[in-house]
Amino acid sequence: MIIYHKQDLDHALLQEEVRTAFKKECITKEEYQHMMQQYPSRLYTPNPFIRIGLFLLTVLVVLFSFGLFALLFAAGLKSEEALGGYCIFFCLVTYAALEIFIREKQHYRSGVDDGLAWSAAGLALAGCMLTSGLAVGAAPFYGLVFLLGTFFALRFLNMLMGLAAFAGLTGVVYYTLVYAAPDVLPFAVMLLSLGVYLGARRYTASRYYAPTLQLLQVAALAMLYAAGNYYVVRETRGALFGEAAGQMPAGWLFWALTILIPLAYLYAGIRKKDKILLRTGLVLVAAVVFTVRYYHTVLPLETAMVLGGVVMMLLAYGLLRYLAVPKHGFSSEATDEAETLKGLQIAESLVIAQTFKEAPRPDNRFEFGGGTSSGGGAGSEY
Amino acid sequence: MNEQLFEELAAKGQLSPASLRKVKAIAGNRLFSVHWELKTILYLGVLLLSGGLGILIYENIDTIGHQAVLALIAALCAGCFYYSLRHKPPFSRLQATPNNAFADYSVLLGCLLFLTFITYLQAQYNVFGTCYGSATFIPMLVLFFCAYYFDHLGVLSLAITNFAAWAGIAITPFDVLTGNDFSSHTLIYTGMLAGVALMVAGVLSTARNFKKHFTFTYHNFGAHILFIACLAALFVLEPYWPWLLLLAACCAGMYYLAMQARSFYFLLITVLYAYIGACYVVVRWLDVMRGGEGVLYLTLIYFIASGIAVARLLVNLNKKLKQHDHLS
Repeated sequence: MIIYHKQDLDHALLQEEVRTAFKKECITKEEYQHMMQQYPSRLYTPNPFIRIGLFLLTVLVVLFSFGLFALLFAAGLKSEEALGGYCIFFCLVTYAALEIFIREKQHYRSGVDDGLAWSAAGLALAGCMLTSGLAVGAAPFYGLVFLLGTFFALRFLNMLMGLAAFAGLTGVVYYTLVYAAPDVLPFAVMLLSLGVYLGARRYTASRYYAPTLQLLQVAALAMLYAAGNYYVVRETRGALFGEAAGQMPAGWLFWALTILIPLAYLYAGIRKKDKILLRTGLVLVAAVVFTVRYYHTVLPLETAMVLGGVVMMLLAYGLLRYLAVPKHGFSSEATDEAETLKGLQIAESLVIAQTFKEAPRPDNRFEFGGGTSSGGGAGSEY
Repeated sequence: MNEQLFEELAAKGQLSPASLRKVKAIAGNRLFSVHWELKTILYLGVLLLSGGLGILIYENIDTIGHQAVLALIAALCAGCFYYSLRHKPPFSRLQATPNNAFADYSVLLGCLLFLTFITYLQAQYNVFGTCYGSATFIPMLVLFFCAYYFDHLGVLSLAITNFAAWAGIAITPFDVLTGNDFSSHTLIYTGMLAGVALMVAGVLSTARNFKKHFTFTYHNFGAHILFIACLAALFVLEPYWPWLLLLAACCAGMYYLAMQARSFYFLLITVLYAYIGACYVVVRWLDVMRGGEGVLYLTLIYFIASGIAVARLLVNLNKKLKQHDHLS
């Protein structure tokens, strides 16, 4: 099923482990170089930034080739069916290019394979929609998304395609049940997500699919929460049936789910020392706050912000003090390698610059002359 | 690291027993680090607290509570700086050894509250007068000082953002394209000057070995604003060819710096900005709108061929940089 040679993949994984060990100064340079020679991998995997560039350029080339040939065949592409047929034809061309690139040059997470895979999947989808009148808002469309995503995820080890497959599956369940059995829908999606999560967790040690399955775990946990979230359920029902607030059956149940699921994630994450559960739980606590505040104004916004900020800082301070010496197997020290740490620190500084750029904008009294005239939104009120 | 894998390697004689012991010592460390989780909570706390206090002060303007809020901000600000000073490692030209995470965010909160305070003083009492830009200039100086004194990348980013705001441009990642009106000539020139200033600051940081780890941040903001200003000049100003030369010069300079720093990131953005400039000039020269179908074909073929060529260039540059990389 997998297009790559198992040996190449195994060696690539081994090389990565050995490189980590070398960077952590566990093994000597001689050992490192020796093992790199002993276990060669033919896979071509450039630096992640180069991968982004190659991805963009590949998509660009595919798009313009698509346009060029469409122009050549312009006379024959008058009907929707013909255009759809052309999409499918071009999808096959792109797919062939993908297979050839990998077989001949062993591109693996190089950007070229990602670009070609996404183009081929997109063209297949567009082609099927044009030729068979497949509509976006219906189960068959999502069935196709699921099939395409699964295929590309399995054959090309594409992480994001795995996510697309999960989205497709959720879409199928949603559109099958949304009118037929709207009361069952949230529970059906929750059950599906739980199943996907448990399945992904069960096989997460699998050699080649580990990254895909980890990503799926996060997505499944988030979907499990979203399906039971009061806001999501109520707004969906409101949009579909024009239901008013009081009419939602079992509203209390969804409130309970909204608040309890993230707490359950956090608890399980701490108990099992599972990063995925812990981090998803933390993010979802924010979702709880937003959901509650959307329906109930507990405090004025600024007071809530100040109090929330103080509570969070005190909590973090307390935990940092508590974990100053590692306890119960938890520590507050960063364990990343120096390079990763540097990258994370830079990312952190960019987030800070982006989010703190604007002080609260008061009325006109705060407009200053000079230097601010052309800087719209440039934090010019200082 | 996968302990089992290394045991197999050692069994095959690829790994000395001493190395295996070192691997096991690190891999066997089963401590679960919550470092980034705690930092994220701290960050959100600072975000909420500084934002909330900022709103609170304007909501309560001209009331009695106002003075109280102001005093609270001043006290908190002083408290933050006091805490940071007490937990600060001695000043060094190099990257300071990471002190405790709370002190880091305490510096950040202190700086943000200080900005709120200054903004208020200026608005209410016009403390710094109205002469050109002093209201943004003074906070900028304070931020730069704090960034160097406390060795804080986040505050440095804020200082650079403030520097750009003082010059009159938006420089934060999501606003650099939307927040600026690049049809204004002054803005284009300002952007170029600010970009060059930041690039020089970065180069000096490395050359003088003074807070070398700030170089990336200077270059990141500087390169983007410089390239975007060059492209804007190319698109807007007439004649365009001097700006094409300037863009080429900037790309050459950036390429040199990227190779020196062995940075794939700067290499990528240099290639992409250069490609955008080249495409603009070619499309303009081909003049698709008036050229008819033949020119349209030519344009499409140009994009396909140039796309492939640039992709090959990236592949080659990747190889070249990797060879420089002494790890492999």
